[in-house]
Amino acid sequence: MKKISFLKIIFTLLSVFSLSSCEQEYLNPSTVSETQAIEEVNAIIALCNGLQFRYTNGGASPTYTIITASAITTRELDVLVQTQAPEQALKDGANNVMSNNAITTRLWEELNLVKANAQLILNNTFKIGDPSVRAAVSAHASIYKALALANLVTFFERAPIVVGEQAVFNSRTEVLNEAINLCRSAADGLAGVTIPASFTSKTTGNINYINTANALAARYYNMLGDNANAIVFANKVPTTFRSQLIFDAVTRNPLFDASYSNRNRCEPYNTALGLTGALAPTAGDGRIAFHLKVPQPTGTNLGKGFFETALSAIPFYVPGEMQLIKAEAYARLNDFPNATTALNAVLTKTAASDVYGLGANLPAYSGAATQPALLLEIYKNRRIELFMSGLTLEDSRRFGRPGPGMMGAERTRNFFPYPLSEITNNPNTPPNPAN
Amino acid sequence: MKQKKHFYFFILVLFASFATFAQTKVKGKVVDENGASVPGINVIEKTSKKGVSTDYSGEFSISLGDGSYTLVFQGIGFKKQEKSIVVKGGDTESIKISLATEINNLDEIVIKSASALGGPKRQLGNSITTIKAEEIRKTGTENLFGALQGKIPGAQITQNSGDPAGGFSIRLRGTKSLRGSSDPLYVIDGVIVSNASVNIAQLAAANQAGDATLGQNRLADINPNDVESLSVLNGAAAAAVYGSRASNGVVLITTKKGRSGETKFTFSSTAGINTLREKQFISTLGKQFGNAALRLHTVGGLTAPQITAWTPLGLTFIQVSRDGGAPANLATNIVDVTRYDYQDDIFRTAYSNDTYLSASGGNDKSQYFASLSYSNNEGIIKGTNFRRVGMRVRLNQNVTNWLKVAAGISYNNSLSNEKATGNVFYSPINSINITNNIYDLNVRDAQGNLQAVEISRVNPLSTIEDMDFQQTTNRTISDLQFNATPIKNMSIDWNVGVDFISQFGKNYIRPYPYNAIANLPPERYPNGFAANAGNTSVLLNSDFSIKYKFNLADKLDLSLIGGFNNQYQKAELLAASGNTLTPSVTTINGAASTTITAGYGLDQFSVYGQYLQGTFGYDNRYFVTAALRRDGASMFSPNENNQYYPKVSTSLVLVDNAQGAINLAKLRSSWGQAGGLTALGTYDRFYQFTSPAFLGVSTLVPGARLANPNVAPEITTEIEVGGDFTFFNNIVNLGVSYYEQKITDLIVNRTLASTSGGTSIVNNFGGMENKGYEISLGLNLIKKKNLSWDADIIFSQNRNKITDLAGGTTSFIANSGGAPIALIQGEAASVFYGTYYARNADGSLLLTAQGLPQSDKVGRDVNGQPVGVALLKVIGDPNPDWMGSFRTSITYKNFTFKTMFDAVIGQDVFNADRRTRNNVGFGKLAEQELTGQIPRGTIYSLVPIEEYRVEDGSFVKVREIGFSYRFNEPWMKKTDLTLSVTGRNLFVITKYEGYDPETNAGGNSSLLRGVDFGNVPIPRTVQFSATYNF
Repeated sequence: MKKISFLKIIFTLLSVFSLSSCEQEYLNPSTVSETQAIEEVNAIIALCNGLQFRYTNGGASPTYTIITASAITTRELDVLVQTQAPEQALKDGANNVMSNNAITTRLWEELNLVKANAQLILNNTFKIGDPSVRAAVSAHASIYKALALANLVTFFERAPIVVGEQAVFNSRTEVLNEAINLCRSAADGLAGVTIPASFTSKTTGNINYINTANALAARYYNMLGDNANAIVFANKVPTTFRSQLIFDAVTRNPLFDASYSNRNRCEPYNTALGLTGALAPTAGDGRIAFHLKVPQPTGTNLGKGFFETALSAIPFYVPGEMQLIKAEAYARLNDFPNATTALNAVLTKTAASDVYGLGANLPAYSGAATQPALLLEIYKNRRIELFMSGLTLEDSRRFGRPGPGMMGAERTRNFFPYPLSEITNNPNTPPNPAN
Repeated sequence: MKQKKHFYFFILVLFASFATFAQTKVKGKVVDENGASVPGINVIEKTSKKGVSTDYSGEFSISLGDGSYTLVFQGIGFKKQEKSIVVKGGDTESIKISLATEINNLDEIVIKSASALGGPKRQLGNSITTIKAEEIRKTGTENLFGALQGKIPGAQITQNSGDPAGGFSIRLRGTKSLRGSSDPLYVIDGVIVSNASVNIAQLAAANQAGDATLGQNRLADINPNDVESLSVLNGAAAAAVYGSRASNGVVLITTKKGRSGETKFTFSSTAGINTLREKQFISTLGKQFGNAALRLHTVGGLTAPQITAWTPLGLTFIQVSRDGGAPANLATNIVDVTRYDYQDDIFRTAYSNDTYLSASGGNDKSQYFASLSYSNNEGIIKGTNFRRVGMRVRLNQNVTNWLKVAAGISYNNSLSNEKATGNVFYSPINSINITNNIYDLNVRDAQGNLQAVEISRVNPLSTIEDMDFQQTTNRTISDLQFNATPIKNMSIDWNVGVDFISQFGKNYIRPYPYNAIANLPPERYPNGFAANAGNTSVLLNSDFSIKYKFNLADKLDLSLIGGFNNQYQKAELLAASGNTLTPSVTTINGAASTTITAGYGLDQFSVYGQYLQGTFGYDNRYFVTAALRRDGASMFSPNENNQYYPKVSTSLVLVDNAQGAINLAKLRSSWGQAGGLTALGTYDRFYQFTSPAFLGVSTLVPGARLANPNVAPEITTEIEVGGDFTFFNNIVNLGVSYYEQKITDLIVNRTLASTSGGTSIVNNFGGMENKGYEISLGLNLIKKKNLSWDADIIFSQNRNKITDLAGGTTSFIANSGGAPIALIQGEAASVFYGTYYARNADGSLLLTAQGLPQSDKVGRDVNGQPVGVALLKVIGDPNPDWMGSFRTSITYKNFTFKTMFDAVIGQDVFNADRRTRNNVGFGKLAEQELTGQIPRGTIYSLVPIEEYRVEDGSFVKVREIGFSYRFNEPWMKKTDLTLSVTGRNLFVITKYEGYDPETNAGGNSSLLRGVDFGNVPIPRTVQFSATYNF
């Protein structure tokens, strides 16, 4: 073989072989970029579903952490296995709950991501041509953003409203007011709008947007102590509609998945729902059999309620909550007859007449028509009617129940410490609460 | 089909006849100074370059026509020698030649396959460790990495698990990256090969493994028998010409090639026994606190219903509070139970075998080497094994006197049967640690089904009988190499390599027959689990280089090497998993349709680079080398795509093969930069929105990781100085190296305040350094005809420190063992950072009022008790203080004894298993608490004190010990037979309270180190082997 011809062949081959080396940029065909995600309406609707996914899927989701954190700190749930460290720390409370606690960290982080992801949608709704779809998308994103904000200040003293580097923290009042504004604008935006099939057919459904927005507004007014508005918005919520988060065999009910499916993590404290003394459920309260398996089959978890199977739906709110909000607001306004009426609507409700089958079926209130007596009964009924709804820590504080360090403490923390990720990266993070 | 083709090719090569020449046969024998025959010496006729090599008896024969010739005798470890001969018409010449040994041969060419890296030893400015074939044979393992343990200065080689398919991890000079793998780049015969761990057979565990890297690493496919030599470039300076992929160091493997001469066969057969080295303490004391139904009886607080139910049965309890929290009710009454040792149910004595046949031969133009191998290695966990079948062919052809072509093809098929990884509760080891041992596992119903044990726990026998995690791999590694010397002093090399891997994984958990009673949580797949996955990877590389040597002046030479290099890599993974299985169907086809999820992953990147290297040499003693490589890689953004990696090195040979006290002295120094690509996933610089399966609607979820489009490669800058010396007439060989590595632009997955809209961002935030030294001391104590005695001592020390971490942010590495692994500025990578014991001034434990240990806190109350938030500190470091090994071999006549002690000292291990056994209630402390030797509540109090779980994992292992005897009696003609027995990991000296401190639940993860959680212990192995050369 001639050297020259060989070298020619080699160099030809080499140049062919090396052509593949141009400055190629490889993209991931299985994901999309932010630009692609906010460009067209179907992608924005997919982002709406993504909000629900983040809010509900798995043990890191707010659905799991909100309910679990609230329930363990207020003795709704007991930790069965000592070695479930983050849960156990919540049960032990006080300084056992540190800034690196996995549950409170995820609670903070995922809610902030829900908030940011919702804001991304709200920033881009102007790209949606159909005003009805735009209203539905806005309502969907607003409700999730409101849930995120309000839950942040349920578990932490303060939280930023804005999304951004070194975000400044707002007071609880400011955050709750923002959540209320979001709920109200969601409801207002949908007034008179028929949500088109082009939205409903692409979302999971099962969310009654106007009712949910009004119910959440009522709840947040109640948290703020704005009793008049709490009554106004609670009255806007009809009792005959369901509005709930749904699940399937892949995206499973996270409370069932981690806790109620087994006896290795958490279980309702006892058949009295962890309540003692004046708060102990009245014998024959029909709600106990709704929340718990009575009698409890051997080896199975005591809990039932909205977490009985992998596919059990979890409501955004239950109708009884609206009555209890009204009862509390009237009681605080010293309107005892109206307070009693609303309380009795819960006490005498039968399972058959409740849209979720949650009914106390008890006699009407017969206690003293005084504010302390009524509030005590209202608190007791909130603990039973709203068992495992993620509201008990807030309730325990608002009703002035004994806090950590006090005699007969009914909760192990008042607020949680801010997570390490926030403390170390955001100089605006306030100091951690003592308890 | 593919297998068949390869087989025909193999046969063809094996039995191809080679032309013989009707010329005079010149025969001869080569011996050393002591008269012992020397195999493997190249005998080359100087003019025609015709060559042969000596056989096992040191004999050779070469056919030459009439005339005068000069034969050159050359071989590793011997001084080159020339001999003139005259051949006359048909007379058979016979020559005997004695070669002088040369211990530290500076003219030995290291790394022939990559000329820019290697060259004659005298030129090299960096330490390069070269391991020869004989050092990795008869080591008691079929894994190449295993065979290297203790033999490379500066390399920490850890067997992560004793599973026969389990991975090894190698790190050269410490951790290099906080995101990527610290594994070096592997190059086999010029082919960049994959050592990736792809999870296709542990899919059930994928949701629980945290940052652990699951799966085998793929160098398990390489048979150590096929390796001729292996060179390790520890540092960035040495490897700079590998550019962006070199910062972790480079391991260059050269496989065997044919030698001209008659065909030589080697047949070897090995049989071995693997056993559990040491059982762990498991209490069989028939006692328990509270009630037989109380789970975690040592630490479990009694629930209100339990108190109600068990008080009539004699329950008593005390209240124990820790960290100022709500007190727990701990049972104090003791009931009788029956305890079992479940270790007997999962471990077994396992057997292994390995069969190998190779053929090698050729003439002066063509040489071939071919091998066939089969090995099957059973694990000590019942039902596990790793089986490997391999074929390899290597051809070398001298096309003309200026052109050589070489080609290699190998095919491997491997199959492993595994059990669940240690990261889940249903792994065999975890299942026995996490289940209270008061149940008889072997009770079965009429159908033979296992029965429930503790609720929510898996019967450990289910892990053995009813789970199947299997993977098969088909792989070919092929290379084609051209070498042309068209004009004098010029050499052109072009290598093209392909590594192709196709893998299938099968994952199966049978629906538990006893779930109705055990009530397993969904994460344990009570209704069964099946997943099937396939992965295809292809790695292509093309390396082209031209080398030219100029003679600038008298004694002054310049060698220039320039080249370019392209690499492309693509992996496609398809996986589907589901649960709720149809009975008896063991694949995804049996899963309920609503539970099936599937995914496709595509990972591809390309790297392309050019380099130029020049070496000035004066008097063949003083050398200066400078090199520069330019690189681009597709995973970095276009504006970061021009990376330059320079290097400079010097080598000064002060004493060259002198007699007397100092025989050789060489000083070397080098400085260089190399890049790290492993830290950045292909798509990590994009803010990605994923679309998970969600309730039948299309869904987009914005990633929690924000993007930095301008992320650049990590740069390792290394300076290395050292020397190689030989003393006392070649009796003592000493090599020392000191190095400092600074890694800048360290890519960190920085935690963000989630209020910014993400929880992390990948960016060049950090810096890290590694400093250390390596010493190797070789002693040729006795070298006589019938007796020789060698010893090697290796010592190395590395100090790793994170110098900059995104402004000081501490981040934690997720893992299922609960280890508080942290990255902290100013500390070594992956330290354990957690709560620790409160102590008095004198160092004794500061106990609570109840006399129990507690963790330290920010303050002290009036009673001197800790109050406030618990404090964290560094409570352990998984990086060793130093590593060392001592190897010796003694040969007396035909009898050889060799042994190696391997020490890894000062590393801490997070012992999750010991914690688990005590919490569940049958560990050593649990028994002491039951018998009252320690106060009730001790283990409960220890739970939040993370320091309690960290132990010193220092160990010295008798890594290898072996005897062999070689039969080469005259009646055996030119054949020989070696019989040997080898023990591996026979004894371990350690204070560690676990199976083995050499373990890692994080698999090959670079950051998750030193966690002992449900890992299969490394077995004690004894192997018998016979090797027949004919």
